[in-house]
Amino acid sequence: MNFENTLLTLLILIPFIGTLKILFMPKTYEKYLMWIAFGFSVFEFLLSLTLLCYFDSTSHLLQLVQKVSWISTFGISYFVGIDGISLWLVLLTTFLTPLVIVATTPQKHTRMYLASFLFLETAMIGTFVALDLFLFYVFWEMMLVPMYFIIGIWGGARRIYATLKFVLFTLAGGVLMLLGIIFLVYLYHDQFGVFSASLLDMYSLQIPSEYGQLLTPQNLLFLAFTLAFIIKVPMFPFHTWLPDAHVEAPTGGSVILAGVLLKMGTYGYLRFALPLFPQAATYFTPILFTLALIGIIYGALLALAQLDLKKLVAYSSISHMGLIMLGIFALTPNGVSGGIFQMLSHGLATGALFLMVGMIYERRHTRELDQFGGLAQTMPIFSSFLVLFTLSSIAFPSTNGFVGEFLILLGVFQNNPWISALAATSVVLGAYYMLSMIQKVIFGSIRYAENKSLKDLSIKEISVLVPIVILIFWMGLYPKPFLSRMEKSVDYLITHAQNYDLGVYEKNK
Amino acid sequence: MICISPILVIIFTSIFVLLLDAFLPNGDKKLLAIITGLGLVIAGATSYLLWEAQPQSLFHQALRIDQFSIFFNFIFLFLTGFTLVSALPKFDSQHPFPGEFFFFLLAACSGMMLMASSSDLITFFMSLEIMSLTLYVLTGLYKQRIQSIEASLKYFLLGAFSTGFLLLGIVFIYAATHTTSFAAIGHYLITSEHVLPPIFMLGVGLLLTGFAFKVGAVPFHMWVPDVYEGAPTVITGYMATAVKAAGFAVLIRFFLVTLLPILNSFSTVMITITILTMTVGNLAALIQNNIKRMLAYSSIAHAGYILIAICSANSQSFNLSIGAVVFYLVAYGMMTFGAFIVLSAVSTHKHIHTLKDVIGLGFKNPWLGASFSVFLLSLTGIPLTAGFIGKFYIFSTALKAGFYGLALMGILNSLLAAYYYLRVIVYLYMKDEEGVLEKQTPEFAWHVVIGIMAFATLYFGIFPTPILNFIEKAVLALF
Repeated sequence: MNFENTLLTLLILIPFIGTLKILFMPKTYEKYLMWIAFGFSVFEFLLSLTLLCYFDSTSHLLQLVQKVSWISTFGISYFVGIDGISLWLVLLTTFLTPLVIVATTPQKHTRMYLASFLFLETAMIGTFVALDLFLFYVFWEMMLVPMYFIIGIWGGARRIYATLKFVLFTLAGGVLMLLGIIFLVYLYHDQFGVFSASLLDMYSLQIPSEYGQLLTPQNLLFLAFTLAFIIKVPMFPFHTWLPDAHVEAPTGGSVILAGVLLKMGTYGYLRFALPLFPQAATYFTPILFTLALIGIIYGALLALAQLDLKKLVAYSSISHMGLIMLGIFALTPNGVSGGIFQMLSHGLATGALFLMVGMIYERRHTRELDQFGGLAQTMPIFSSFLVLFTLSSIAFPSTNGFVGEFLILLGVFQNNPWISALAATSVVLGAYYMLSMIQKVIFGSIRYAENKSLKDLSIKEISVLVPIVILIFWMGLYPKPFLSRMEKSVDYLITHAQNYDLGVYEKNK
Repeated sequence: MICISPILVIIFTSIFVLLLDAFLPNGDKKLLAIITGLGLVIAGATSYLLWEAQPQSLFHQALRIDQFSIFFNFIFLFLTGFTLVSALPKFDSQHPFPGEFFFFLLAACSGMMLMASSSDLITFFMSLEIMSLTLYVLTGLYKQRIQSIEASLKYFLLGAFSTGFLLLGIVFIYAATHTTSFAAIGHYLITSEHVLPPIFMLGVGLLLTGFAFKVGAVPFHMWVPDVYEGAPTVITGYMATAVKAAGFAVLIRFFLVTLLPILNSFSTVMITITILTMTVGNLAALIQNNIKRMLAYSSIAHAGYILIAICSANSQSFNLSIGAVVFYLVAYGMMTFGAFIVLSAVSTHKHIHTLKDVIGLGFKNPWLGASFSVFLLSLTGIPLTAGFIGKFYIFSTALKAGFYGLALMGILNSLLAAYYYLRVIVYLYMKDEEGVLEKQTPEFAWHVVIGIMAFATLYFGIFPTPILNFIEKAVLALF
């Protein structure tokens, strides 16, 4: 067993060891808990950077694979690996977690907060690298537990309603997926005579489907999986948990929720629903296109009407995530690459916006747009950062948001120019609500006395935001290193959508 | 003969403990507890030694000792042992348990062990009565508390009623087949060329009613919430887990193995009972504010999940289905027993009944709160817990046998259940108000029991393979 093959397992285990370390730390070390957790997450991030060294971007195959038998009765194994689709999502997770830990750790129940976030990191990375259906489901649901506590304990006034709603919505999608997984395991057993839950084996399954028929096994399985994913994304009409969860969650929870958890839905669609059930995916694409379009425009219109800063960012997420889904459904190289790229940019920009909302809320104890105004005079640094992240969010050229949205619209345009045109309205609407937010918050005159004495960002807060700014411009000005590493996998996914069959990468072969 | 030694050890210990209690000075129960524990350990050790032995039928096929019954012996011995340990602190608190507690506990255990080994309707009936009669008394152990007495009486009256059904069923079956032995009845079913006489079906139906009562299946579940609420919490934990396991053990031996050829004619009834049991249990649990009652209704719902696996037993999915039932009983035993012991542990000074009473438990007693959360998450069926593997196993069985509707009902029900389990966690961790709970360190005994249960719940959730192998062996020994 060499280092390469255990790298992903290490990435899964380190935050978990951190969780245990934090939980069992003696009381006398209470003050240093945050720095211990921070240390673990930074180490995790540095370790995850080595993925870039070991990753071979010239191959579409699954790399850094490790497989160990787990529950042999059902052919379930511990099976992890990455390709160009999951690589950046793992890095996004390891990048955001230390920032969240250092920026948002509260005084109340610190120990549990840190333990929850580290455990959440384990579950998130596990979800992105799992290549066994059962293992994927385990990580997928595991992530609910820490999130349940994070929203429920440190959230706002309606946190209990929000957290229950979030968990029940996600569970509802998840349990149907579980039935689908069991069904696939048996189908594999029927066709090949052995039990296996490995995703790679599933790709070679012939799942019964008949052109034009609705109730075929493939269609039903597709729906079972897709429901889980589009609840998570979330797409219209399953989006109602999102505003509640985002608004009530503590800042750190919102950042991770918007930054990483939502991406699990889009990732799951790319990894599971699309390649496993290609005919069904084609069959349902018009409906999904429509839902994505409704989400894009409806989300933007809702964001337009919000008076609360956090709600505005939350609704803008629905719109952005709709656009990402649209790019993926287009099934063109540009569309899918743009979708994955936009997952990263949205994760960074929206994550950063939530952080900023948290910072201003801490100072002013309100998030109502009307309560602000003229912050540019009292908090110049804060205002500049806010403008920067807003630019990324509205896809201003030279920021990463532009690259992503442009690629998506381009990709969609190739086959469906009209849909692309409709989707483009979201860019206009996005610019409108985000810029008017900027105008209300930082420009104009100071109308409230409280705003006069606001302290500008501290060194700690700036040092949290600067890495995000650097990435935003790096990805915006020179996106090639990011795109080139996902290119092969995306191309393979599109050219082989109907007979997808990933293999395992072996070095020197 | 050697192979019934575990049962004999328990029976002799129980009698010895009862006699010893009469000669001991008042209040000194430590010796009794030690002897009881010793008896359980010896019985466990002998069971372990018997694990590799060949299956044997004894006393003219009245008892059958095989890996299946030994596996259940382990379940009963463990649960009895844990009940014993968790009851110990109750001997010094305000409502001490009387000395005959040890006798009744061991007698109930011996009844259950006999039940899991019985291969004749008469043996089954007698062992059931040994178990039930002792449990009626155990339920009423708190003589000073009116609810405890009421629960005991209620349990006794309804139990006696269901016993009547059982006995009548046995008589009818005897009238049709002229035998009470499981093997002979199975032989009769295979060889009889004619249509089965209605009196036989009637007999089976009556037996089914009796079983449904014992495992708390709808519509024979009315006693469950009242009895579970009234009984001392430790005993409730014991009843909810061990008694249910014993009931399902016989259900497997008699209904699934013996009646396999005519199983199809009961499928409609069974499916109806299953769906009703899950749904009624969950809907009723949804509106409970009393945690003990909620857990009682949830135990009804869990009986429903187990029934899914029993319904889906057909010739292809037979071993899978029994394996699912047995694994679920183990998982359910750990998480439910653990949850009840947590309740018992927090209510030493005050009676903790409602959700409001446990506000803030998670931070005042971190380990109790964390363990309680583990049990609740396991009951919900969240991965990494034994409850999840159990559900996975059960739904696999249903899908394998082609009962898609049943699997879907099960899934929807577990979603419904998620709400009320998670709501308890809300009260443990997320409420702002100050709760009535005081910060206190629970007795060491409870720490041990709860810790082991929580650890086992997680361990079997992450590494289920070893126990699955044991269960596979147990299931294969049935034939």
